Amino acid sequence: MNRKITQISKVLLTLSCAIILTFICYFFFITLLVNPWLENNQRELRVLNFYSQKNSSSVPEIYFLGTSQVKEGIDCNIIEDDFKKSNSSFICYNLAVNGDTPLRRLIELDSIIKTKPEVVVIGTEYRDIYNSGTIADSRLILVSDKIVSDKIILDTTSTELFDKEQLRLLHLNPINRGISNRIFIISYLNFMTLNKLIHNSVADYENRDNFKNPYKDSENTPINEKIDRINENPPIDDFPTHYDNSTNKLALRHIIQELQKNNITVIVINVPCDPLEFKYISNSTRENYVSYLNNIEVPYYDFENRYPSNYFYDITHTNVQGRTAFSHDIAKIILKEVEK
Amino acid sequence: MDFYTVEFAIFFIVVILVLIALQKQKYQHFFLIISSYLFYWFTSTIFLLILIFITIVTFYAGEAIYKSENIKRKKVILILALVASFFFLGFFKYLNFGIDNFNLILNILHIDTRVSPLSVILPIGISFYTFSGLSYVFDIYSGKIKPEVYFYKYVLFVSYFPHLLAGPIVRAGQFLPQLKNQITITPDGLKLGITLIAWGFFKKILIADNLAPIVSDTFANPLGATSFTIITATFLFGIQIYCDFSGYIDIALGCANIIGLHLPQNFNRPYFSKSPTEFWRRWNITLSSFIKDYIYIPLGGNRKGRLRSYGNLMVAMLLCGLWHGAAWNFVLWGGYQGVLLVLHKIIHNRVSFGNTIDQFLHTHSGLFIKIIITQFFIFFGWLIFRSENLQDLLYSSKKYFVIDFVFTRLELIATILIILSVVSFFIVLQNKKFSDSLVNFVTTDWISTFSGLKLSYWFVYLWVIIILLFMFSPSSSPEFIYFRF
Repeated sequence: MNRKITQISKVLLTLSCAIILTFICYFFFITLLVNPWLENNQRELRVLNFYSQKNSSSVPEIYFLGTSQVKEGIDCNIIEDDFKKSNSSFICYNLAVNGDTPLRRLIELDSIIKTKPEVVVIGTEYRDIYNSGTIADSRLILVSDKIVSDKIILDTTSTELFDKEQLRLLHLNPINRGISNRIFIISYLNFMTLNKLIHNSVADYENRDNFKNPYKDSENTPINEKIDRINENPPIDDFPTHYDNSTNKLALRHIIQELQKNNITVIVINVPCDPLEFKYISNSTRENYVSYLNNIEVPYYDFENRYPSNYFYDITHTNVQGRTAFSHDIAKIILKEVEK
Repeated sequence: MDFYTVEFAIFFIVVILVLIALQKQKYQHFFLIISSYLFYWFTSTIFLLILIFITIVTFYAGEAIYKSENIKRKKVILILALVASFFFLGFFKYLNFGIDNFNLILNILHIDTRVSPLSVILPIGISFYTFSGLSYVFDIYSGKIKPEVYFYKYVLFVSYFPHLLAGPIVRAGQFLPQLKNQITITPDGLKLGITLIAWGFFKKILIADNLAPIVSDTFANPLGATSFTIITATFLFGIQIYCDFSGYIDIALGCANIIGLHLPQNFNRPYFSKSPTEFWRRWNITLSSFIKDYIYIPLGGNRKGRLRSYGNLMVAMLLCGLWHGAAWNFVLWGGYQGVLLVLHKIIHNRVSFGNTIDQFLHTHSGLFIKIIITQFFIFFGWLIFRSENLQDLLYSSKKYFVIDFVFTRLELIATILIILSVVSFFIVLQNKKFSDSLVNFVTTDWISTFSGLKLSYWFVYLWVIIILLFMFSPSSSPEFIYFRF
């Protein structure tokens, strides 16, 4: 009997040791490899680090915020050159990140205000606001240590706009954060192996530190393919008038108000899209969207249907021609707004 | 309460500790019944009453059949037991399917009236415990077993929690004799159980759950997809469903091994089958033997002529398809499996390829070709099983059989690599030493091998599996596929 108990204990002890060793190895892996990689390679974190590491400048600065459409559509070098030609001196930074929404951007609000830019240009479109407050868990987990360690401060209104689960993820304790960081392991391993062999057009690692012209070098999609794709996946033709207090609407309003309160000029741009997509958006959607932007009391410029289809490499993102034209046009608008 | 939840781990540890503490066999059995009912209550709440009802009906039906000396009376009791047991299964699983089809007929007849479907939830495991109960009644009716004297032992047989939710379908003859002995937790049983549970989690969480989103993406909207995408998704679904179901079974078997009340094997390397008949001897073994013993053989099996045996096979497989789910694609899948079995029987019994080809087919290379051809058709079955509607199925089937040769650069490289690997494998297979060791590798019982390792090596096995699970398991795990059935 005693021998049996000893043997059973040994089996259970072996199992326990395997579990404990797993935890130890896992936390070493996450702490020593994955976390530093995230810090160095995720554009969202690089943008946050940009704010915290930035020295104050005597030259006025302009920040561009928005989604990949802004990230790939704005070339700060062109804009700065245009300013120089007009004898204005501004330093521009393209701080847009892929798939951004106003709600997620609240995480950056305090940092933006602290770095005191002269102008903030926010590029937006229907989809940013239609998206009813969903943010991928990974994006919240990514910044949770900065929130917990008070490197990022969320004001009361911002805190109220996140739902319970989002707040939980934003305030993960170190152990839970360590466990949650599992979701980045595959990206990390991909980065270390496959991405070195095969170019990953989806990942934005290569633009992580480019705050001037973080475009993606993509081939133009033939028009037939564009039409096929848009037919397969038509854009959302809706603007949420039916839920006036949607979190993204409130978040955008809050960002604009807070920036204006701190004497920062805010300009909102309805970002350009391919005329093929434009056709899918109904007038009612457009009117609802414009009336919402007018209500916020902010200078608003519509670039939605400004450029021809050959200025876009796909349905939503501008190519070199589009980026150049868009950047020149934006420079003019900023000069006009600043002169006001 | 899923097997992979912390709640189940706590529940199971408590069950084991109490079983060790309880010395008397009867107390152990009573405690296991209470635990199993609690387990089912946590999973299906009020549906526990159905489990109790089916247990009572089948137990007393079995006793009444045994005691009755009149064959007609035995038959009546059997039919009553069948009706009573199938009532709930029919109501929860097939009623809405019937209503949908009734509405479809009304629509065809241009009649405006519609019957609204009922909002019913299928009680998890209902078809598994119903079948276990019915197998007991059938076996008594056919004189294979005698009724169990003690009701509580029978209750434990039907409700034993490791097999309650998704099988395997246990027969009374396999389970009840084990209840004669006291339950003892042995070091070997514990080690084998943990080895199986770890392997089950590996298959379910690491493989099946990681494949699930990729497969779902394709099958949610297959129209427009290329042959490469359809074939890849079908292949991955075949892997997913195997790892999902056999992973669940491994965990169930592992738990049962630790307790010491063993459950039957349900899988035996089905994707190495060399014919559809062999596939059904290796896939969901307890269900296919249930269908063989209680549907195919009572219908006459192969005793009433060739044509009748083909017809019996078709009926059995159509019912097998319907058992999987109340939808036409499952019926079609069952019918397709029936056709494969019939065709295989015809080819096997009546077609001769000549001596040279027959001899070749018995070599390792020949067996490899047989496996590839069999699995090509078996996996097409998974395409039928997984398709969400007829339009998707027709489109996907066309892409599966008529390759469109549309590839991205990466897909083309992958395809060439796969073809080259298969060809080189086929060439290497000509080497007898290599092929013998390969057969040896495939037929080795790896679970027994791993559980028989010295503790230090066994530790490495566990550590590798646990760390892989920890690092690569998806953030949310979908429910076991067979819970739906």
